[in-house]
Amino acid sequence: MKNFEERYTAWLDGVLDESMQEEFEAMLDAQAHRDAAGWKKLRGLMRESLGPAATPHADFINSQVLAEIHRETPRPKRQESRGIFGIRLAWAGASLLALAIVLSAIILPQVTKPPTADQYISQVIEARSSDPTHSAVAFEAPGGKGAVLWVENAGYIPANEKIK
Amino acid sequence: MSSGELPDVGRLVERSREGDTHAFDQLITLHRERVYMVAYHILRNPDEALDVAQETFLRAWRNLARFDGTATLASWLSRIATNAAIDVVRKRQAHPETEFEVAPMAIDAASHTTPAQPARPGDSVDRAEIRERFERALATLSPEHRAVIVLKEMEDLSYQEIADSVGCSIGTVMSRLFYARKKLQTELKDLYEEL
Repeated sequence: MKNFEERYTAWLDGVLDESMQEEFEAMLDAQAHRDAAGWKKLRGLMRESLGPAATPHADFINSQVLAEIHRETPRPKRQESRGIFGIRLAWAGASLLALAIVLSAIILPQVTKPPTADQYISQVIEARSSDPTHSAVAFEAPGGKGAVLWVENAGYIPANEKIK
Repeated sequence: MSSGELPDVGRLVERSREGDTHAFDQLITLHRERVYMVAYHILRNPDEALDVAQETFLRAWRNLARFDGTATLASWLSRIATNAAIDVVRKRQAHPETEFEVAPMAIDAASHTTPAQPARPGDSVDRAEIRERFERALATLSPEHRAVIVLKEMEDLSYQEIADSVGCSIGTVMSRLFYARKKLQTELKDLYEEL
């Protein structure tokens, strides 16, 4: 120890070597001994009065620190995720397109398929008119090459008569 | 890691360095009482001490690569906390309107009640007043002197631990203790002379 202050501190704290302690105490006057005794009383009072520092809301420290760390930590680039998402999107689109094609192939022909000639003639014949003077006769051409529908006393087929 | 540490602290430090926040969470739990204590004894304010404790662990997280294990983790954290608390004290001193009042208040001679005053010899002083007297006396010390006196007297750290915490030599710690004790004795002589 280099100076008086360091030796005095060590002596006061009781960590001075035994040989140095005797020598040092011999150097001190009565006032220094009284001061040392006074400090020991004050130290006891200080520890009693100020007490240990109990940590309030200790878990709060953890949560706040970790929240800040997560805010500071940059998120890893999601390049792989984007690639996988793109592939999945492409597959989904292709699947939808295939489904649309299949549905179109099945549904559309049924919607647009024209009725057979037999259907037309039979439908016309099945139509009823409230006017007794109206008549309709169907003739089939020889050889099945055509059919003639002879409608009498009906200037037109009403628009509300749908050919189903 | 230095001897005397819990055996798994070294592993926790390594995992924390790799970015494992769960491991760091455990380190916080192990050391938060000590860190808070250091901050509180210097600042004497629980809210500021909590802020400093959080700041301490954040600084530790950011600088884990610099922790080389020559001192214990506890000492390293104490040092960070001490520096952070001293920074707060210096900011307080730079703004005197927020400084803890240390000057005795004037007493109206006709007043029947008195604010807290230095006790006269022979008067009994209750615990709250004693505490306040200590708070005021500690506030008169520089942040560096306050740090060494509270770490020594309140937490009974060794000179080496204090030196590691405040970042100075053992000789400097001992000199600061000498002057801090002398000053407190001068401020509070009447208190211990009653005993």
